[in-house]
Amino acid sequence: LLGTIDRPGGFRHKAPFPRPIPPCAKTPKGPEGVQPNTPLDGMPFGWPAEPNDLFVDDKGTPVRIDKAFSWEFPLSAHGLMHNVITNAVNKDPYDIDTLLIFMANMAWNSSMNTNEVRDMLNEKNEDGSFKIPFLIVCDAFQSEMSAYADLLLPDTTYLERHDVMSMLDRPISEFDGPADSVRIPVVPPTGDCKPFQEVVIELGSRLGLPAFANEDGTRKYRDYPDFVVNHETVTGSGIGFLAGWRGKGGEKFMKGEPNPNQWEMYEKNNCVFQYELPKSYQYMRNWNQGYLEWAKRHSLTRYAEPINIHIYSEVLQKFRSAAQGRSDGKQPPDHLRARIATHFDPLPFYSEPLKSQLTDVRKYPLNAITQRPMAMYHSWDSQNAWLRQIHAHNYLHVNSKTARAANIEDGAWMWIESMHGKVRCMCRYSESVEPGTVWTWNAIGKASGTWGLSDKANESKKGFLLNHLISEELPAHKDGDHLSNSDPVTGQAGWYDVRVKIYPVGAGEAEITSPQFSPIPTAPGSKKFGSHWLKYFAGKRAK
Amino acid sequence: MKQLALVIDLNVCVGCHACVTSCKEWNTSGTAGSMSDFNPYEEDPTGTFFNRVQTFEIGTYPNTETVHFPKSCLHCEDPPCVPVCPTGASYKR
Repeated sequence: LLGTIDRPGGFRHKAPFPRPIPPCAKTPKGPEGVQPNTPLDGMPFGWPAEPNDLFVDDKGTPVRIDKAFSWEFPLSAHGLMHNVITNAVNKDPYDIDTLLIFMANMAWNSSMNTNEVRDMLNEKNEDGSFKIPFLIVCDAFQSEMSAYADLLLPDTTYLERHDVMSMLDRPISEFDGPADSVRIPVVPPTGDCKPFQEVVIELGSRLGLPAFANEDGTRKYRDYPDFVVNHETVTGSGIGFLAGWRGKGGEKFMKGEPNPNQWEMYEKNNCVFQYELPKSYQYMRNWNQGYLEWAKRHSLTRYAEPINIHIYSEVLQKFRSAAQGRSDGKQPPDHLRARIATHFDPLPFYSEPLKSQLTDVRKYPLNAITQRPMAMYHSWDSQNAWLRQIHAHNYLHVNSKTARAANIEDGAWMWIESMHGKVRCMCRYSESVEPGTVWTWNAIGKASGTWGLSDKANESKKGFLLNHLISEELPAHKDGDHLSNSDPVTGQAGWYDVRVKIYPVGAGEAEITSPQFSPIPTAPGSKKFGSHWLKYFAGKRAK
Repeated sequence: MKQLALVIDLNVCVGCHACVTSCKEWNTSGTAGSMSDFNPYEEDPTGTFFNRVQTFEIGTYPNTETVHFPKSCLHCEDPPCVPVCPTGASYKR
């Protein structure tokens, strides 16, 4: 509307964007796309452009365990990981025999309804077998999730492994042209740790998946670094993970045959490759013919067609037409027709979050939200000795007027309660939050005894999670009894939709966050802790 | 050599503490010896930092703002707190 897309001073693109709207990648379109001993007939994630692209069976039932790309969440391009455990335990749409989790703390801050999800991980069928019989966790730390693993694959940190921030995924590009980057290990892995990438390559190779096997069935890639250098999107395409120093001698960029010395060339260039586009290709890239043809030649896009931004979305309208029975092709189940017809409005509109609509907002008047602390983009490794001195526990930030009206002092212990649960925490007065909203840092709170911290660590005694107040399913209502607490169009988790009330603690209550969990026993081989000094001396070993 | 102070634009600083940890990483490895931590994985961890970001609020709602105020020592000729700043708030000529 403002005419500022990819203009000087406006919102500028970074390669591989702009991409067609919607992007081309598609998932399989039905259960026939998932066959034993056969690669998936499509991408695991994609962008449905119309109802016929949905990943559902002929009754309209989801094929994926998280129900992504189904009529419940048609455009869920990121999947609905927050519902996998609940769905598997409810056998909805089916049960599973193995769950493999990589670097996701589903027994803690990555799940909504954390208390009950922890119970689900241990839940048994009537015959005594576990509802999730085999749980594999790959992580570099003793997280809350690691404690539930049947098989723990010890991962490495970023300092101990090769990585690519690839043009095929989410590179570090700049406004003036494509850029990508790598990580190169600076220390060897400890003990039996193995980078998860190597585990995946190993699995693919041993299963003989086509991408990992030569025509005669022998193993194609030695390891992850070999895979990164030699993998091409299509054999002979000259397009691989990294855009820099391609060609036999590293003389080509963006496109060229694999270069056996590509890692060394990245290393010499500070692990970064940057390509500067000609000035005439740097702006208006949605409609810049020269740029689009260049992008197509270098496989950043599949079509050299203008990329128009939708104000009126024909994609959304196609789903609405199906819900209204005005189109042929795949049809939604009847109980979801009204929901789809409402939310797939082709024009933007405001609606109260589904969760709020189903909450008694006179009883729970406040909105509660979280954000990640700037100093810890991920909770992963936030327990390290320096970062935990920046944030070792969190407060609930409440507008001072709202807190005084609830008789809660600055710094005092208090309760925050939703229709699903309650949490005891400490209050911090704030002038920079509006009176109808309270907020806290996400994932500072940790379960006692996890992450290599002492049982008495501030993270478990003063830190808390808001997740206990948020359910992963909406209350049963006219559209369904077990719908995920997620956006009906994109499946985006409804983390910010919870409504709460606050009140002071009673006289004599313990000054410790609630809920508390019994400490996780120390894993075999772990170091014991006591009060002590931690210090590093450069060159100490060299002497 | 003449040392000029650092310029830090408080309108641009977002309080990420990258300068804090980068400073500690370089200086703890230096000839001046280690910057130690007490109770590193226990209750109430504490330690030595040459740079800390103090965050505070000004004013009364709705006329309010949050200020992130990096308190760097300004001693380094080539300060490791500057190049890690993701927003370009820190500057040294």
